[in-house]
Amino acid sequence: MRNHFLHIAFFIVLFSSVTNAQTCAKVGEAIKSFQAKDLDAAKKSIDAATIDPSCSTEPSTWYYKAFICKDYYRTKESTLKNAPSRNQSIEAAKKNIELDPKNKYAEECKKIISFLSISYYNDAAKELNDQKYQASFDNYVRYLETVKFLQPTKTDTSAIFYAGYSAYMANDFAKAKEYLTLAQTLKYKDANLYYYLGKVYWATAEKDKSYAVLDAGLKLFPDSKEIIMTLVNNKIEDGKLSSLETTLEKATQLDPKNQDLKLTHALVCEKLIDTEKGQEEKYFQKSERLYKEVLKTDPNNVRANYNLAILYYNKAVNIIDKLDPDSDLLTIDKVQDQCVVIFKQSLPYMEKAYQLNPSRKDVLEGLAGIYFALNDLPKSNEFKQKAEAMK
Amino acid sequence: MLRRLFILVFFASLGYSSKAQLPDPVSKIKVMFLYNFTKYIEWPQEYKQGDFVIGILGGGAENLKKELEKLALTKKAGIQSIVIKTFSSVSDIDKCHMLFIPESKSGLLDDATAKCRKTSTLIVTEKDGLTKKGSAINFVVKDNKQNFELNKGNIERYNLNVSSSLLSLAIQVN
Repeated sequence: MRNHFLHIAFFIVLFSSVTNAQTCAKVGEAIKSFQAKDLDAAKKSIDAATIDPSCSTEPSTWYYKAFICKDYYRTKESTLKNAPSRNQSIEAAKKNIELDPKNKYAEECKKIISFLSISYYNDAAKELNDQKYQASFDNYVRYLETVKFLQPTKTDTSAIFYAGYSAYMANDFAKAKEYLTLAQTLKYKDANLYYYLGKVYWATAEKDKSYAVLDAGLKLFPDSKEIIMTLVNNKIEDGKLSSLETTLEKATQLDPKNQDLKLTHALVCEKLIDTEKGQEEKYFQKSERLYKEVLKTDPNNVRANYNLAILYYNKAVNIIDKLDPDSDLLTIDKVQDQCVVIFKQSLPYMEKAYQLNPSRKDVLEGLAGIYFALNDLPKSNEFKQKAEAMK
Repeated sequence: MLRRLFILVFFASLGYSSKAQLPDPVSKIKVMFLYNFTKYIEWPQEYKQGDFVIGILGGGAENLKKELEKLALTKKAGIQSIVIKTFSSVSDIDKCHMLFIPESKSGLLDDATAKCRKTSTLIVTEKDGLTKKGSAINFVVKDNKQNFELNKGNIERYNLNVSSSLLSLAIQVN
């Protein structure tokens, strides 16, 4: 408020020294109205002056317009979205400087632009927090444009990042890419930049770029959970299991209490049993260890119980499936002994999953399968019927 | 200046669960046994030419049939190619080296033995007590495992010879 009075006082002093020299009547009317605190009339007169050829070539006309519009904005339109008076004030201030960069009002015009650019920034930040992303983006862009006008060599990388982030949240991926890439080029240091740029590239099906950005981000911010989780999600979606396993290893270290992450890691290891020839036992053991770690802290985790049961079940089935047809009867018997032990390892976990959630069809089918493999047909049929009844 | 980012981290994998393998381990084991029987049973000379036919009586053994067909793609019974046939009824039973009667068709054992009386067909079943009712070999469950009973008399009745090795590994039933 104090600043406001000082500004008006300054303006009155300035007016008193220039009105006599003022050749444009419309500008004079605007000043008089402003002094009489009639902002509407002042604005009307100054708007008319700027389209009057006898006034519009005078830098002072544009300064007065910038000043009156700025005051109009502060008094009447500061809560208005895309307030016209603010834009008009900035445009008028720019026009003043363009007409004569060394005119005596130029510095005042720069101050007006600077003041209003900060208001753009504040609005953008407020809208961002209010999740009005498109409006936020628009105001960040206006802020950046005005800053660029005042100081062409200066860049506000933070604002560039937030413009990109707002655009991403507004689903404007082209703009998000433009601003986030610019922030990266300007070496803005924030893990979120890499996180969101990685997500934007992923959303626009530029997977290689997404991986490159996220990998670069992880090098700069090795402790960023957001980046690593995004890599995990992308690689799951992409089916890049082998490299995903390495990423999950790192992610688990960063977030050792994250049970979902451990379960995902365990499941990926389970999938790798089928694809990584010669490393089946390694991935089996890793998967088993991870599931057991989850169950140690959360014994009632249905997914961990179910998945561990399936891990054992599949192991035994794989042993039988890979059995050489030329195996003799003694070998078949030994393999059966081995597999019965494994099927019996599977059973308590599936039973626990059933106890925790008796209405899960996959659990009922799992129990039917395990009992069948253990040659207990009555029990297998009992669960098979329960599963079928759920269709 | 307000600065707050809303970061949502989620796992695309949360709906991602383990899947049980499809192969039926019990059928696979039974097929391994059946293939071994081709090595330990000797068929008469007239059965040593042409295809080695394994017949299945009726439906109810789809997984076993699939496993047999898989086996037939890569393995032979001696020098004979293995062919799998399904006989929808006892009257359809044609010349075959082995006849598998699924548990669901066990009631047809008497008719099947009568139909095969003058042939050299090894009748294999999978229901308790059937070796005492005419079956040559019967799959049984012991200690959660597949095993088999063998009735030597029922094998020899069809002009088949059984090796001592197979006899030593089987649960013999008279």
